[in-house]
Amino acid sequence: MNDKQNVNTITAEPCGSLSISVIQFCRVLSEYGLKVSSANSLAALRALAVIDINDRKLFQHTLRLTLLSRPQDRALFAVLFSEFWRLQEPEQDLIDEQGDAIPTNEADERDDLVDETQELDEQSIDEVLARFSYDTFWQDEEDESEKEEDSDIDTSNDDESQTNDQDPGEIDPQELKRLVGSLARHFSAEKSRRLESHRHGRSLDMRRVIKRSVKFGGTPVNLAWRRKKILKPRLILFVDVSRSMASYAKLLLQFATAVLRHAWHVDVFLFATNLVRVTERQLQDEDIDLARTIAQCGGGTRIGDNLSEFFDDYSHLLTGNRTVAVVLSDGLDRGEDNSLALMMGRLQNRTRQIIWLNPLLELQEYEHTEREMAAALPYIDLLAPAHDLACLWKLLPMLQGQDARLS
Amino acid sequence: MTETVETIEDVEALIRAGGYVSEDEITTAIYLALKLHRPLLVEGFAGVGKTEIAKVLATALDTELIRLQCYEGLDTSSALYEWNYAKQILAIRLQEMKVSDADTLEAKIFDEEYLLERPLLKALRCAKSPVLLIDEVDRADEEFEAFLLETLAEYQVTIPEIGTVQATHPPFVVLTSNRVRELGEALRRRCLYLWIDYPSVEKEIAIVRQHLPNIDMRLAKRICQFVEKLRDIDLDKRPGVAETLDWARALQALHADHLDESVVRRTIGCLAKTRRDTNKLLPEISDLIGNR
Repeated sequence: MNDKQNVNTITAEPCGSLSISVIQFCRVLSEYGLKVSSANSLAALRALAVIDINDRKLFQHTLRLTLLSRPQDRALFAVLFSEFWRLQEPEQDLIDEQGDAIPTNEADERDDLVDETQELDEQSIDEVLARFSYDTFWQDEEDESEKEEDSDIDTSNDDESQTNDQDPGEIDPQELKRLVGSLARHFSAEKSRRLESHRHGRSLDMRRVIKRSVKFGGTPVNLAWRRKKILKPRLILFVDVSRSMASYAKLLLQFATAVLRHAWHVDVFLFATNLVRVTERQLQDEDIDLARTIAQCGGGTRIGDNLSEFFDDYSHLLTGNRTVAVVLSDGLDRGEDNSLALMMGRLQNRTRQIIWLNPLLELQEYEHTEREMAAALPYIDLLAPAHDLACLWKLLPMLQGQDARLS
Repeated sequence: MTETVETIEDVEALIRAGGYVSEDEITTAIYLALKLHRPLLVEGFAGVGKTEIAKVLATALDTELIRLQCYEGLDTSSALYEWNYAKQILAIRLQEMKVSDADTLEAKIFDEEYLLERPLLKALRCAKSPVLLIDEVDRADEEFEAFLLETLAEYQVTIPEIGTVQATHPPFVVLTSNRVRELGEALRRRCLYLWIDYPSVEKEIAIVRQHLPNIDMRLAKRICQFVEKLRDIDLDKRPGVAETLDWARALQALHADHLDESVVRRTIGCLAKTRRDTNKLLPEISDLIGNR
């Protein structure tokens, strides 16, 4: 009896207490990395309105059908489902008055937490900005992030300070432009099977031909053509601006700028401790904006965590399977061990190619680097050195060689 | 349409009548897809009965099944509509004498009469909500996926020369994917998501018996147990339910009433679909039949 009443209230009032619990559950799922949009939760609520929610199994199926979109999430969902909805089971129909009160409190607490952490973040960024100067930035950060680092990495930092002597030096902008131009040609050689209108096409665009022929009484005087579209892959650049990469950052940023100016779909992300997306304007405004952006990135390197952030916020950029991801980093990851491998795996799934440019590759410290990068190596299609412009030039034949191997 | 399906039990009955061996989750998915009128995205390994869902649904609802097979390079002119150019040219010739004004002529030849309906448009203009099966949507490229979004979200398409075509009886949409590539988030978000795994032995026996009512119960059981073991082996192409059914039919045609090495060897082509798989399976047949 009681059950029936409850069901009725749910159907009539979609903002009843069960809805709150469901939304909360969606949040829990998101916290565990499952992608649940508000459209999903809305669909879940709508679906719950038309089923018998007292049937636990049906309830679970419904949530799974509406909230999940990838098979690999099923296992985690099962665990989270039983955890989350177990807590509320004693209250019978999940919609007792108490069931209402408790979750809301929790939600509030969680909101407070989120707010707090956000405040903290902003504060620290402000602090960093206040005492930021482009040259001394890396030293300033030293004492803060140094704590986490073990002795191994310290030595590597020393090594790198020596390699500062091998500074890439001045880069000829013309040279860089030519380099990027030839890279661009390499990447856009592929043709789609789809046709587009084009003056130099080879097949007739009948729709236009007919339209144009109308004014000549049906005589096709002006022809229109179509040709195969040339595919421009999307390129996503991840540029490491952490302390260990400081001496190369300039070269790599200029490379990124040159790439951006070319007619690709390019997105550039700077990362160190944090991930920051940069626009073309920011890259050109090297002095002020970029310095600020780099400051936002922090000092240490957490490639895995940054990639995970990328998937959370920007995974919509990875449409289709033609995206090429380029990571410019020394691979000295200071994040958690397995997160790098996990995220590289995800990246590999969603991209056509992963290219990793590593400035340390040709130096003696490479053995060290290799160990650091071991987690990422299986997912990389092409690992190439990038300590000066000449190295980047060598990239092209390597890419061509790789395509030959792939096909 | 939906008057006939009010409860989950109705759906269950409909599906059973259609000869589909379902399980709770699939039934729930179909029920919700019908009730909420939301597209259903079905993923799973090849041959687990993804396409079958749409077919059964169409039979159960006694409505038309419109199928759009996706492939790379699929574009609007083969998915949605195309103008009938030959007819247009003819019309221009015939009208030439009567119509002096070019605009009138243009309006005339870009009229519905000269439109060739392709599956999507057909599904939107049906008089009774059809079942629209968009098969292997992962094979089409992302441009097509983006185009599908409008169709699926609003049940409408825009034809520049005519205007927006809005479905009066929105189709029930079933999309299938073999995960050749990851589908975009936007598309996933608009769909109910159903993952179909390989069936349990019991379910598979039920499926075999559903399709081959005359088969010996013991043989059916052994077939399904054999196939289940195969799925644990690292093969290039793991056998799906479709393969199990093929094999069962083959065994029936050979009048085999039990599994032995020679009969399995002769029919191995039903299960192993590459040379490497065949070579891998042949030496293991006796083990697979034997230890139980």
